[in-house]
Amino acid sequence: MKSLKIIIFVFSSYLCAIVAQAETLVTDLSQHVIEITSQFSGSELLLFGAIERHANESIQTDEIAVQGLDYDIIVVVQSNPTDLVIRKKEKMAGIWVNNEGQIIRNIPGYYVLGSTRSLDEFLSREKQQELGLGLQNLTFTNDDGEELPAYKEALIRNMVERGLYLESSGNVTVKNEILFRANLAFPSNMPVGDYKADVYLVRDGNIIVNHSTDLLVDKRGFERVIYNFAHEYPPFYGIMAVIVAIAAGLFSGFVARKVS
Amino acid sequence: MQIYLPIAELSMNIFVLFAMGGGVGFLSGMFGVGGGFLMTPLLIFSGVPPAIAVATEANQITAASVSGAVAHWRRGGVDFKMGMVLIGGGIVGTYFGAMIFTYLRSIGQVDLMISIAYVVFLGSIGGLMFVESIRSILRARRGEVQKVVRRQRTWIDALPFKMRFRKSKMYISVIMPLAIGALVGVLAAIMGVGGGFIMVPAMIYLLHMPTSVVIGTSLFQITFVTAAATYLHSINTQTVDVVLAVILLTAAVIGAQIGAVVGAKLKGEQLRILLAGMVIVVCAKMAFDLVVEPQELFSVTAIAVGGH
Repeated sequence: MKSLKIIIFVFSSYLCAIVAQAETLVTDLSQHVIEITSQFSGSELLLFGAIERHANESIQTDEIAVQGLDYDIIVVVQSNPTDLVIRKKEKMAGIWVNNEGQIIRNIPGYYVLGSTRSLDEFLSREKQQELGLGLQNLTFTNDDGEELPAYKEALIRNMVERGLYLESSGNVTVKNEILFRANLAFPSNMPVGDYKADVYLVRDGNIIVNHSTDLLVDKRGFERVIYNFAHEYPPFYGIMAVIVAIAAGLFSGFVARKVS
Repeated sequence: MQIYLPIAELSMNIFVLFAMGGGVGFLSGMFGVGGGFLMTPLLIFSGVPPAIAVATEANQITAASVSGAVAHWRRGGVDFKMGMVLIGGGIVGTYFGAMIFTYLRSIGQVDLMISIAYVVFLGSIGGLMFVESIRSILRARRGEVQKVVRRQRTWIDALPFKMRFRKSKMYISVIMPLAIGALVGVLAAIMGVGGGFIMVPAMIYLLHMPTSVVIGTSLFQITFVTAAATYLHSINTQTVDVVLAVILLTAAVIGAQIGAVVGAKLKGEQLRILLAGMVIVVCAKMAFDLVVEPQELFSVTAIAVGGH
């Protein structure tokens, strides 16, 4: 009796799993670290994965096949939230001068969203807003937690212009309702730091499952040494910069005398 | 070929940087000027953040002036005592310049200050040079000889704290050289220039130093003052990009050698009018950008370090 109970328990929990989560996502990135080296001029990354279906195929093969046709995938890559300042130029005494600006708290310095189709085609506006998906649904708040709609459009426009914000569709492809891939391009001015890549699987207007992968963007090699040196030991960096300049100046003067 | 600049945090074409450094080096060799007042605006126009352009140029000018200072010193063309007084003023000026720079950067106004400083100084210097060289060309055409006027005693001679400068054969108050040094120091910190274009005329017309020691002494001062500016910017704002500075100075050294050869073949007046024309063009571009409504009124920046 006892063994039967266990079997029933195991089986029922298995059934529960099917009901709660019929699919799981397996995703990975072609690289987990983007290294900014001296030749860095932007980077490309492949985000790929598979949709794993756990349904009992002997019962509902047909249904799965039909359902499988309308999988949609959303990929969001963003940097950890940071604080940004946005300033507006105003005309003062004939010249254009920055105003004092607004600090916007907890906003990603980099945000890219890609999807199989245009978001509106498969996910309601309310859902998008609820999950904070898309540039329009990022929250722009100041120190006091107030929303700043006046600066929102300008900030998005600015960041899109610099290639740091992007929302595009059709750049995620799903193959045989199992495999998916998204090619992501990163500009050379991307901020360093921790990033995360979120993948959302959507069916029938609902997010069935999502999966998050970490990504690190970091300066490496010589670039890292210089950057860290400058920021961690400013006085020594300053002295080094002066010594390098004096040595280079004296050396070039010496060479010039020899040549001429 | 792109190269990533670690402090500026952007990727630039290394050949473009070489061309810029070489071009400005050529002009500085030809005209016998430092070139900071051309290089800094050029960097800004090509997308380097103004604060980084200024601090990095200060670093590059140290390299550009040190070999000249040594060469003049070998020929006995440096008045060390006067140099020390100018440096004393210069260090104080640089310190205040760097403080102003840091404060303005934290409130997002440093770009504006750099532009205004360039428009004011380039505009006035370029204008004066232009008028002066036109006059001397006209005089040469008419065959007039400039009269040598014995200099009059002015209020400058009446200032206290006099000091003897043997090399320059002068006995003058230290207040004026200190003030000149300080002004040049402020300019080095906020404009990324050596300030030779201010200091050389000031030494000749205000201090009446013998021309044989003017260039050497000003180079001596510029070396130390730009080194101080580099150091202070490194500490305050971390805006000195050594990689950018080394690329530019390598190209500038080569350009300067070629420029010096070409410059030797041109007449002094022609050179000055060319230089004045260039200064005015840079100034006009800066002024234009200040006055014309920008296409994008908003700008977004990360919060500046130490900007609270």
